[in-house]
Amino acid sequence: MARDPIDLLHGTLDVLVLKTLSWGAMHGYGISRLIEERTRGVLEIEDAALYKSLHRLERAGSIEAEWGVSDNNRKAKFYTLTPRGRQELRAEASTWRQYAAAIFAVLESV
Amino acid sequence: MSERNRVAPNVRGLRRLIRFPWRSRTRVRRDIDDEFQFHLDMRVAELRARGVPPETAHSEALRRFGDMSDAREYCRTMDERFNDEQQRRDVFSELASDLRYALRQMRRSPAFTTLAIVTLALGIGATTAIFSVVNRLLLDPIPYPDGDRIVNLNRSNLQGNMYVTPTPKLVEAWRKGAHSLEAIATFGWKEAIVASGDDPENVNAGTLSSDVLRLLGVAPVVGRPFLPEDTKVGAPKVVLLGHGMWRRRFAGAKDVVGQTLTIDGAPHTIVGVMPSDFTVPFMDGGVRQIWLPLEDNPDAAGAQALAKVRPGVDRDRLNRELSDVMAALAVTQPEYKEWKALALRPQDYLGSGTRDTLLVLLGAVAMVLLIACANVANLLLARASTREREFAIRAALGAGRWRIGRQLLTESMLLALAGGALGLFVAYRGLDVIVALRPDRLADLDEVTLSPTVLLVSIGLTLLTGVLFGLAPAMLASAHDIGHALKSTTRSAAGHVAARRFRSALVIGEVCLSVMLLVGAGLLVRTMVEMQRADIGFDPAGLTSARFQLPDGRYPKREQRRVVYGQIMQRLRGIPGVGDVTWAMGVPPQTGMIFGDLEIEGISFRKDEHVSALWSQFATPEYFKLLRLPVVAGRPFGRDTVNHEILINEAMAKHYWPNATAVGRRLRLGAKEDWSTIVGVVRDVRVPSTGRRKGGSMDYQMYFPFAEDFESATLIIRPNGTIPDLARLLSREASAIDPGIRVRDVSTVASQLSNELAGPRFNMSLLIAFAGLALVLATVGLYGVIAYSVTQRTREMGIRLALGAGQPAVLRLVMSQGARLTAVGLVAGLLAAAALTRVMVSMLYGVSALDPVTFVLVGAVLGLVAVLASYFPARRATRVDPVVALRAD
Repeated sequence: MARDPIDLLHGTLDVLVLKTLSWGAMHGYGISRLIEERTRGVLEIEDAALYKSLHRLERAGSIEAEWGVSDNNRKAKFYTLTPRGRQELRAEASTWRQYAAAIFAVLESV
Repeated sequence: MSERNRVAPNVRGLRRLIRFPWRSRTRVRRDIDDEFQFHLDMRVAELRARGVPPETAHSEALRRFGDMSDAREYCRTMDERFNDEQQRRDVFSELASDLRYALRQMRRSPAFTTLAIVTLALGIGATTAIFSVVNRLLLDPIPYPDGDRIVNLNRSNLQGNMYVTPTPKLVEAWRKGAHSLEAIATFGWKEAIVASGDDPENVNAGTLSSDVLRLLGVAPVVGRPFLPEDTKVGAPKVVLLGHGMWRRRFAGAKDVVGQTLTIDGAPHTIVGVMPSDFTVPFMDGGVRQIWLPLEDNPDAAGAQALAKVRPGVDRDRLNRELSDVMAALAVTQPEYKEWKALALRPQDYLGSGTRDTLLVLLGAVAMVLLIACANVANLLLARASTREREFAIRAALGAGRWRIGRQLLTESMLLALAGGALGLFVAYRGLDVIVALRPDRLADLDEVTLSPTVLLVSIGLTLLTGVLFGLAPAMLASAHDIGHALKSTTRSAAGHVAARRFRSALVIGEVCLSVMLLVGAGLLVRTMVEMQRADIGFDPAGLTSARFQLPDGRYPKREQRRVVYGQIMQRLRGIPGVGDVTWAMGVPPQTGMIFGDLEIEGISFRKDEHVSALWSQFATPEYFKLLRLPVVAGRPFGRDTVNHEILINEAMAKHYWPNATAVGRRLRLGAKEDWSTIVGVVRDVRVPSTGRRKGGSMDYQMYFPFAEDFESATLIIRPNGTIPDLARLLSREASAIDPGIRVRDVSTVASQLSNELAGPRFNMSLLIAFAGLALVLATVGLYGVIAYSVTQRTREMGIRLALGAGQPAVLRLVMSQGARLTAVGLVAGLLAAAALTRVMVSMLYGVSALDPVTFVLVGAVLGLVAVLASYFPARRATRVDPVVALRAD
């Protein structure tokens, strides 16, 4: 997966998108709503960045896109996780957990 | 989120089928715009639902989206790259699946695959082998830089029917005066004896002027080339080793330069080693073991001249300029009058006979390749019709016509490539065979390799054959009606009309081409027979000849030579078993030519009747008895030359004195010569050779008394007992008189005559091989078509038999189908052969290009083979069990 190593946010966002899609197929707007919901509004994702992330992940083969019909009967582009995306998610999630644990360990020590 | 329920289930295989393969650039852009628009609309709706007024909601949605044009640009780049990658992946995966599938098909029918590959390998291999010969001899005969500008310079008589090498003076004049020439150099060849210790060895030596290597752009691999001082008269003796000699005698040692090698009894300093494949264009006999400097002697008789022509100068202009230079020289030196210059390319040097032969062989082998293609196409077609249902199912599953066609093409390409690869091996081995069969004068063939040009042509040929035999089956198969094929539970009764017609046409074509090749081969067989049967005029049985070479300069006077030749003769006559011996200049077929303007007392020639070169022989009076060559009128001449007695042959006598005797007439060769008296007329000596017109001055033969004029002579011997090792005996006897005398070329006259047949035998062998191959392939093709149609018509045969048709009737029915195809092909082939054998005239002897015997025989052989090819499938048809055949559905 081609990722820009300098921009940490890309990576972060990608993991969040993958995680969100692990619950099922979703269009971009749905993903953005779900992330906001889950983070209780702490993280507000910029829509432009979200779409960049989606198209980047599609090219990398982590997700697949397909036109479908939304709740309100409109044509919308739905994304699903591919097996490769699922693998990616597992690897990234564990990296994140280690990272967070390390930060915690430092912050929580007296 | 409920959206996810609305998405079609994600089955990857199905999605792949449904998805538009690839999106266009505009489509990509529109998709992104739609996606973003949907997002904005949803956001606006959400905000409005929360009570935000419309205009604020819209701007708020835009604000929250962020930099939209940047995102659009980014997504577009990603999508386009993704698209491109996808496209590439799809093409490769389709190709890979085509290949996998093709391989599986090949494995599934190993007999078909083997037959097809072997057929193609033979076709491609034979074509490649012959093409590499043609390439070496005709297309790229001088494998040196700018080889196409290198010519051989000669002077020819004004009639142009005879040419000789230029003199050193003439070469000098050309070097100075001919501006069309970039460089000119001279060379020659001779035999030499290389000795180290007591192991003397006869070798072929090439002689080179100091500028030959520069002209050719070749350098020695070790040491230096010859320098101008090496070629001066009386210069220290030096030698360049041939690669073989270097390896053999010096084990390839680098420090060989400076060592000495004894050549013809004199030590020579080695100055270098030539590359292994080094030959000089226009030099007879191929690779040499040693190279010596060509002595720069202005009074020498002549040497071969090699020239590099300036770019853009054509041969007419070159010949004109060289002739002009010669004319200027003739002002002061009249011996150069009556000559013109003649520049020859290797192709001209080969002679039109060889050129025709090569082109005929190339044409023949191309026909074999065509037949091979037709055969494989036939096999593929037969197989394609048994695979009809498979194609129909694939088509029903969504494979397009193009896709199925491409699948079939992939299969045929794979076959072609396998055939081509095996074909290279065939070509490689085939070249060895060709080299082993080659006549002496095509020594250049030893250097023939599968060069890069040849390999490229072969690969091109392979791809072409793949398309050639694969295209028609692919088109016919993909054109099939899907519904029809799926519905019919069995094979259709008569097969598809188009495919059947096409297959019949292929077989007719194969038969036609085979007939042409068979006729060609037949004519060459007849040529060989005629040549072997030809009356050569004398009796070669039991005759052996040997060349005796006196040591250089030890017997300068004729009297001395007469003594030494006489002593040899005397010693030999004393040995039991030796029988009759005599001296001559040579022995047929190796005899000489004599040049001079023929004048006959009492006959005045018209301008176009001038004769300037005749077959000649210098012989003793015993020669005629020994060769059993009858003197039909008059008597043999005496031993002496003082009486100026000569003999001529019947052809010449008949031409000049058709109604009178030639005996007693006088003639001379040039105004300055003495008149000679014809004392007898001898039977014609006719060594058969192909492509020579009968009649004309080349058939006129003159005999002069053997006069010990030269330091070498030919001993002709007809032993009357068994001598175990004649060569050793002759050497021993010669050494007893003078150890310096060398005896060479001890061989029977019969074997020399047989060597003369090497060329025709070579042509015949190759053409027979090709024609045989063609016949086998065509038979297989015919058999295949008939057998296939029998299996297709099993049911029909069953019905016929059930309805009371006898077995003979069914047999006739099937065989008449084969007979029709054969008859059409046979007639077309015989007609085409009649039109084409004209190009073979120069390869024939004693048989006309339209020889009826050959044509009839070929027709009969082919007819017989065709009957056999259709008999076996026909017999199978008669054994069809009506019950089984009718129940088969």
